Amino acid sequence: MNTEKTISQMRKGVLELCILSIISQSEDAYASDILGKLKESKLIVVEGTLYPLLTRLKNDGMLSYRWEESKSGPPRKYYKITEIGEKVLKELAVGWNDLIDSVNKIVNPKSK
Amino acid sequence: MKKTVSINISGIIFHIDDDAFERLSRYLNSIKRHFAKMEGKEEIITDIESRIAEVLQEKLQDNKQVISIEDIQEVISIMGEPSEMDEDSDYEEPRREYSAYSPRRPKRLYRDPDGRMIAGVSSGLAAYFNIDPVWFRIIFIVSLFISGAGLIAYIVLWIVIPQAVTTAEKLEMRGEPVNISNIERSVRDEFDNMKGKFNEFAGEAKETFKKKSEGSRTFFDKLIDFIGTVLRIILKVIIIVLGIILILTGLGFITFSIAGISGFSSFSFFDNGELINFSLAQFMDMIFITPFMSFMAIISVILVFGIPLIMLIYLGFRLLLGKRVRIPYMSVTALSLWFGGLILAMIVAANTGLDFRHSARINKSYEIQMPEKQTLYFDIKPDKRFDGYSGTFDVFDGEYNARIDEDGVVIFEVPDVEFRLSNTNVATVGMSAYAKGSSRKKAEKRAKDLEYHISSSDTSFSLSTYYIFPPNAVIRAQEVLLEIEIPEGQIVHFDQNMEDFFDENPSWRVRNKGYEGKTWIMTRNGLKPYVEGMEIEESEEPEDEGSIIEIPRHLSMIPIPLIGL
Repeated sequence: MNTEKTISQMRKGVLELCILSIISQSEDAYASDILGKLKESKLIVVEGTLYPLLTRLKNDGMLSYRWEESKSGPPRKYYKITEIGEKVLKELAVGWNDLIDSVNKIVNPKSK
Repeated sequence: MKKTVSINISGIIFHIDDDAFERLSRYLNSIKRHFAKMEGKEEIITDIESRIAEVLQEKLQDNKQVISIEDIQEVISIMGEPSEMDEDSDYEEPRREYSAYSPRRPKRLYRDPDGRMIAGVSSGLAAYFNIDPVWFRIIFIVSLFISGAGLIAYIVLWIVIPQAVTTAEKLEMRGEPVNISNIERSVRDEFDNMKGKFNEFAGEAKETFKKKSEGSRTFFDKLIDFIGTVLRIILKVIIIVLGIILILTGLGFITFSIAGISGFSSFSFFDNGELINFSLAQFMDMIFITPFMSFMAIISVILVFGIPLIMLIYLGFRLLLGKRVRIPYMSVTALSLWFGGLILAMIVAANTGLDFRHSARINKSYEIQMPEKQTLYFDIKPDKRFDGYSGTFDVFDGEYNARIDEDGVVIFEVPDVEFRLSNTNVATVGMSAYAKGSSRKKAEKRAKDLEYHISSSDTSFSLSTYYIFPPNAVIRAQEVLLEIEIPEGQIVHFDQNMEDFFDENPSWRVRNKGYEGKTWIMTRNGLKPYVEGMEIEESEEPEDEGSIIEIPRHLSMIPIPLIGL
């Protein structure tokens, strides 16, 4: 059985949460910064995954952005998390922690 | 050396190789398609392009001025193929997803050069209507037989409908949207068919392909093409027509033989308003001794005649429709079955033939010593069974009659009759019954079983009209002959009720000569009409002329003992 696929499914499930988290941790986040962090933790394999997500989060009101001209290169979008985004982030984080607990109990049963 | 293109991504100018540009275009278009249904697709695409521009810019450091195809391939692997860009990794982009989602674009009617048999008319029509081309071919061929309308229509369509030459046209023909992706796919499909022909880069190969289809070909080339096509058509038409002829012939023969078998011995017909059915089984039983033999006979006939006909039809279909209708082991099976049928037929024939090996004759004789100057009378002993004609039919081409009784099938016939000059003064009716069989005894029995009555009185003979087979008998060349000897000068009268006896008689000498109901006199030259008081001609010894004394006929018949073998 192809475990890579299942594991990548798991990763994709938490992608939203991670993106919101990364953006909320910095004042302004630019796409390639976000990409950098995600690639570090191997949450993203291809960059193309990020953009539709960013756009969706923005359309749902969880992110906002501003344009900044760059000297060498095309203009850049800098993303910031919104209030709604923060709320959602908190809920997702709670959900995530709960998930970790439950799954751990099953997968790594502790012997007391 | 390569050609370069100048492009602008997110407002930044790049110089990019020809082939790299092609690849990049395809990639960007596939992304556009992928996000076509998504909210905010323009933004996503812009973002992605922006990122691509950034990545490319990094690559252009250190004196490198032009983006190469390797750079693009790297970009693609960094950004990912559209299918990888989704959160749902299970989502696979099927190659033909487009046609599943978007409505069919308006199709254009082209002739299909790839799927053509003759000129691609049927293929093109099929692509337009989304029906298997075979139907159109069948329509054309069938209409060929309706005063060739199909041929004219086909030629008209051939001239009028353009041929789909470029890939774009072929896509239009199928109603698929013409975009780079589809074209790419179509071209790739075509490449699979022409493996090994194109060795250059994908981009250059595509260009060459496009050039070749649009480009200039000499008049001579076109002429050769045309002649070749014409010859091809003629050949194909011949094959198809041949196929149809074979099929029709085979079917025709089968129908004909079925009709023929039933017509062979008037199996069913109207007689006096009744429909009489005579089954094949009963007919066969008249020839073959046992029902088993009859059955075997039928089977062998079906095999020997039917199998070649079936093969004809099969061949016809093969010519028409090609490999699709191939039935494995058809020839072998058919041949063995046919041989089997042949052998079976020979066995049945031999077995039946045995029954004709021997023959036998049974003779009976009746005499009357006629008193002087008396008239000899002949009449028919009535048999109620044969009143009227209802229910009677011919078998063996009229050789015998048959009818169906409560006992079964009864065969009967009028005995052959011959009048001869007696060299005595005794009038004789001699009956000879003849039959065949597998042994002398059997033949004799068959002959004896033929029922025929003769009786006589002082001055008259009483005969049956018909000799009758026992019910459900087999036909084995049975025959009854009557030889009637009459002394010279004897006056004879045949009763009117002998009409059938004479008119249906196998002997042409007595048929329809009007013997019945009249008086005759036996002379050296046979029976001649007799009128009271007439001169007797051609006789060396003139008889006394006198009036004929009419003596009432005795109605009682006293049979005279048989003189037999």
